[in-house]
Amino acid sequence: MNVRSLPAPLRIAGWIAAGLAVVVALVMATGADFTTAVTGWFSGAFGNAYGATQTLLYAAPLVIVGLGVAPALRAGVISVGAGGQMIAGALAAATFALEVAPGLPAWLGLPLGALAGIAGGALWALAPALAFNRLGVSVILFTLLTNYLAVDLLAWLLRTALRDPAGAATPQSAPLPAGYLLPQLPVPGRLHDAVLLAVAGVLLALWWGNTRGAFLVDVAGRRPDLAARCGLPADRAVVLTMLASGAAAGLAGWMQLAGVDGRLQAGGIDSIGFAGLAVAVLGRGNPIGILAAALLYASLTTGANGLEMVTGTTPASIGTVAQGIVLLSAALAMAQRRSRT
Amino acid sequence: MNGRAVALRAACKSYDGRRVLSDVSLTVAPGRIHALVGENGAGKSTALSMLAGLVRPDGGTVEIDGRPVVLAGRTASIAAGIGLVPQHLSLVLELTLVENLALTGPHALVRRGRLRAALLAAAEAAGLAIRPDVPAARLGFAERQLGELAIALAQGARTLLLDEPTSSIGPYETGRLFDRLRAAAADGAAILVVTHRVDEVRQYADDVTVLSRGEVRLQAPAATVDDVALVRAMVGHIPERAPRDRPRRTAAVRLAVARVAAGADAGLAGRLNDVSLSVAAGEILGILGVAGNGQGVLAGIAAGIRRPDAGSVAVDGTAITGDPAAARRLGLAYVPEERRHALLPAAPLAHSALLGRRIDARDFARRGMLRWDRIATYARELLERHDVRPPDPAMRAEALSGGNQQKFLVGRELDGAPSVVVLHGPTQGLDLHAAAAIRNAVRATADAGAAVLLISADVDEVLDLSDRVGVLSQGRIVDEFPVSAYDRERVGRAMAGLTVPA
Repeated sequence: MNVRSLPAPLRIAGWIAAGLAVVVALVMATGADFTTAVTGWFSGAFGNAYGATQTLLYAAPLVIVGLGVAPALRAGVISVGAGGQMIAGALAAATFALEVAPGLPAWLGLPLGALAGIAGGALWALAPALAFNRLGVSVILFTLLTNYLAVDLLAWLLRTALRDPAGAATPQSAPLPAGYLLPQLPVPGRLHDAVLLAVAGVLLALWWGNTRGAFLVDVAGRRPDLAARCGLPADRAVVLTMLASGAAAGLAGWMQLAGVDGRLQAGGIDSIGFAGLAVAVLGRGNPIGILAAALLYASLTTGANGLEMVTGTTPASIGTVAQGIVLLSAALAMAQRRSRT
Repeated sequence: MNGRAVALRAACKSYDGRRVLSDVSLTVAPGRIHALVGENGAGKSTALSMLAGLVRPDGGTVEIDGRPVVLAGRTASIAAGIGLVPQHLSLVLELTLVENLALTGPHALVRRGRLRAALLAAAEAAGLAIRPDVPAARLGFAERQLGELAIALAQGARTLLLDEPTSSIGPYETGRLFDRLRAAAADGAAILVVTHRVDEVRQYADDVTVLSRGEVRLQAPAATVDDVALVRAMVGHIPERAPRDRPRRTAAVRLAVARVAAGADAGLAGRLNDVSLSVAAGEILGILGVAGNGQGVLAGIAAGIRRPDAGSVAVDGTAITGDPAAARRLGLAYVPEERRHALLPAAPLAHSALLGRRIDARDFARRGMLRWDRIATYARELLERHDVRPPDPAMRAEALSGGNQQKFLVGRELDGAPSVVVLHGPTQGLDLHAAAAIRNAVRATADAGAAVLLISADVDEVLDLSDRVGVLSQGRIVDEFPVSAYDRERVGRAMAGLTVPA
């Protein structure tokens, strides 16, 4: 049977399975026993309540970032700026919480914090959209470079204006006021309420994918004149999809701030943004695909922790290696699809 | 140049079980121009592609000088001295003609000076005036075509295959092109020209082969075949002209283009200079002109797709300058020259059906979500009403023949009583059947009260359809008259740019 005649999801799954086989081989090479390694992996990712909640906690922002960037990819706008947008969102939310209105109760603090995050991420994403429309600056370059700008801006602010007055040596802000911290779900382990937003996001994306707007976003990427005639000029498609991806990334940045870290810290956030982009590509822009890809991607990290614990010889960084191999496998599967048409 | 005879012997080809060529034999002889004619989908392009090495026959052979050969791709056919000028030219627009020649060459090492000399020598020998050092994007279409011809000759082509070379150029360029081809034939080249146009066969061809549904219907020296026999072999019958009342002469101007200018720094094809037009309800205004004199820009501006540097466009008194969505909402229908730009070729036809003036239709969405079942029903209706075959809304647009795609596109745009219709080359490259169907639909739309702006390089078509005729030359409307006042001499002079309005 010809591999190329398989339906696309099956083919991608096949390639990913092949990639995971390579990972297993690497794990064996570190001297681990196969059964122990696989059980350790599964217990780390899903086996117990702590592992499972960790996987969900890590997957949630990936889902939101992935869903957010998908419309831009559909419009042919290649944005790699989710990391910077997440930082901008977290920065805006933290500044609002610490400097503007620290005393708000939770029923105001949470929605306003989320809105600040959304606004911060969207504004950060607006710049490359306008630069592309007005000056023809490449979106991929602009977003790539402004990611570094966001990382350094954050580091600088954490040493200056937003520095924790309690004076820790690590560059970090003061803890967020209580009214801005996300409550935890009543489950074992640590899982904040806002992960439910990922589920809501999937539902919203499933609906949106069937709307006229989504259809026209597709058209704008391929037939700009035709899309303009139908009411969506290409430049507006760029601005709208970039605003959506920025808003989603900003929201994810706020989730990390208010639900996981509790304060602004240097480093970490932007790597989630990049992983979210990978998830969007891995899920081929499809909401269910993005959800599955995010769970897979997250379970590779949490599973690797479990693996390290049970084997003692395999380092947890095998998770990062696995993510790289999975992405490469997916890229191969999709390249195969393209060469066929 | 010593020529070689290139031939197909009993060639067959099927795609997905569908026969597109059966038992086709034809010989392209040195020193002669062979016209390959037929309706859309008759198999002309497949036959040509076989000779060019792009398609392998399922049965039968390709022969050069009587010996069977296997041409595996263009590299092999170029080496065999077969030159190809495709309908949609293959030049890389960012590169100059010399660079395009280098691209197709067999050598890894490019010796620009040598290639340039070879190109110029080939062009000179064939009497082709080319500009070898200008990026192809800056050349007009006809100039690119001659450039492509020169490249083929510089590659050592002794057989020239041209796929519908006159579909995008005006009568003047057509004459010039065939003069050059005649000269090349006199020099020993074997030439195959795919065309729809009976007049070209009469004027330029030595031999003619008529294909219909993949079979040879007629094959003879052109001089021995009369027009009626030729047309009958192509279509079986000649479609009738739909009866048309004289236009209702109302005062209501529906499309007003006022003092429009564009592309002051662009090439000839992109320039418009102080153009004003008005088209009334029920009226068809035809714009004649040699291709590349600003037609594309004028069509784009009239449809609101393109914003002019100066001037304005209004539909029923409301400005739509540079606002294609407003134009659409006011009922403006638009068929651009490149139908691919108005369709989604790789998507099901239903998707393209939605991308017309009914994009906002309320009954196509519920709770914001598109109702593809209803859209498909609508698409099927459109396809059936305009006799598009097969009428399957799930089929990809690109799987239809060019004529069927065009019928579908024109049908979509003319659906639902448009206020203004802007057409650019609506029947270009189509067979007689499809062209007649489209012309009838345009007439009916005008009779229903639409104002029609028809921009076309086809003089017969413009004279046949229009109430008034304008002549576009070098970005200006240099003459305008009611069709009853048509004067061949006057129009010829105007198209050649010899008259300038006072």
